[in-house]
Amino acid sequence: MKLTVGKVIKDNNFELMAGGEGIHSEVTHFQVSRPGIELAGLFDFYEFERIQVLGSKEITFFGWLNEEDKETRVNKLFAKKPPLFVFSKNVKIPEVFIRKANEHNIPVVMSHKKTSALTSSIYEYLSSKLSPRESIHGTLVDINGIGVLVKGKSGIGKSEIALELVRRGHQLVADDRVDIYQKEVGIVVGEAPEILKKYLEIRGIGIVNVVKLFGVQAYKESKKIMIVVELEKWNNQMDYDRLGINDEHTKFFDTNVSYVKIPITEGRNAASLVEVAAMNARLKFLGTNTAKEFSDALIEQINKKSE
Amino acid sequence: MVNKKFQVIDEMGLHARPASMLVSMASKYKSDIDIEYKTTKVTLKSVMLVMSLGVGQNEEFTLHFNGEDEEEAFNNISKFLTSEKLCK
Repeated sequence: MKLTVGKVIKDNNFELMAGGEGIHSEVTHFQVSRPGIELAGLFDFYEFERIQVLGSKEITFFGWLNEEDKETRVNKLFAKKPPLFVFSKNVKIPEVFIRKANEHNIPVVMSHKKTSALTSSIYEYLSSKLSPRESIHGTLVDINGIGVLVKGKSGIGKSEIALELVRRGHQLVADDRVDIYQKEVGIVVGEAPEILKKYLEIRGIGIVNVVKLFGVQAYKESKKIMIVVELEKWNNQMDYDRLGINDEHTKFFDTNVSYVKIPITEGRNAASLVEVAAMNARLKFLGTNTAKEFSDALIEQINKKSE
Repeated sequence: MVNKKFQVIDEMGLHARPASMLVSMASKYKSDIDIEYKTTKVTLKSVMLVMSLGVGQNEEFTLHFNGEDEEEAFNNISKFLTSEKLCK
């Protein structure tokens, strides 16, 4: 999917000051550039494919230049055709930028954020929009702040589990199809595809709007995946983890995520199991590994007896 | 009905990891399988019960197999205990 300058402006609430003709060009890089050294005259390292951010530092320095340098250097900045120029809050945009923007059809916009907050928010926004995405089959819920991806074959009851969890006050992120991307190594975020947002499909009832039925607290836009719970029909010949000593992981992009496999039979309340798996995972993040604690206590007891 | 006595040789005793492996194996058979240690006899299909025994090194326990696949269960579980150097 192409990310246009227009969408970047709209999503970030930037105010368009000039160069409106250029909103259809594409943004391809998620880093931003601050062209201070270019304003000083050095263009060898100009990162023109990035969004250019100018704050009071650059503009104060710019004020020291003579008129001729101002004209030629700004012209050089625009001539390389970067996608967008963003000015931070409290900066008065020099007239020459407005003029060049209209001449080269490159948008110049104003932000309501200070420079440091602005650069990090643009970076975060662009990396979420431009990083590679994958669609996976599963249901993503937020259980007491833990992002739990429930996986399993069609018909095992993932949506019903999500419904039960929502009824217990947890939040639905995405049902059936989850779009994931890696925000940074170690953080994989999932969200629902635009059309499926807020909806659950329950066999026999149909499509359910979670927000209208359960209120706004029942829904969340996106969530970091912290544990994957795979459900499967109980199989006598399978080895299931009886202790939970072994930490299993599954990989999304370059990130390892904890993984547990839970067998389901009639009479096992799957929603409760998923809830407990999530909370136990949280306990592990906080440093309490119950299985290990138990195992250590047992070894100690055995040793005490043999002394 | 098949019964067999084992002596633990693992220096840690019948601790959590081997106990859970033993229970996983036992759970696959239809036969009733019990473990008897001192005066206590519990099913080998519950990990909590097996671990609650706390069988230490050099101690003895008896396994009781009873059911249609008792021979197979006995053979495989005995093989597991000796090959993993847990018991003799």
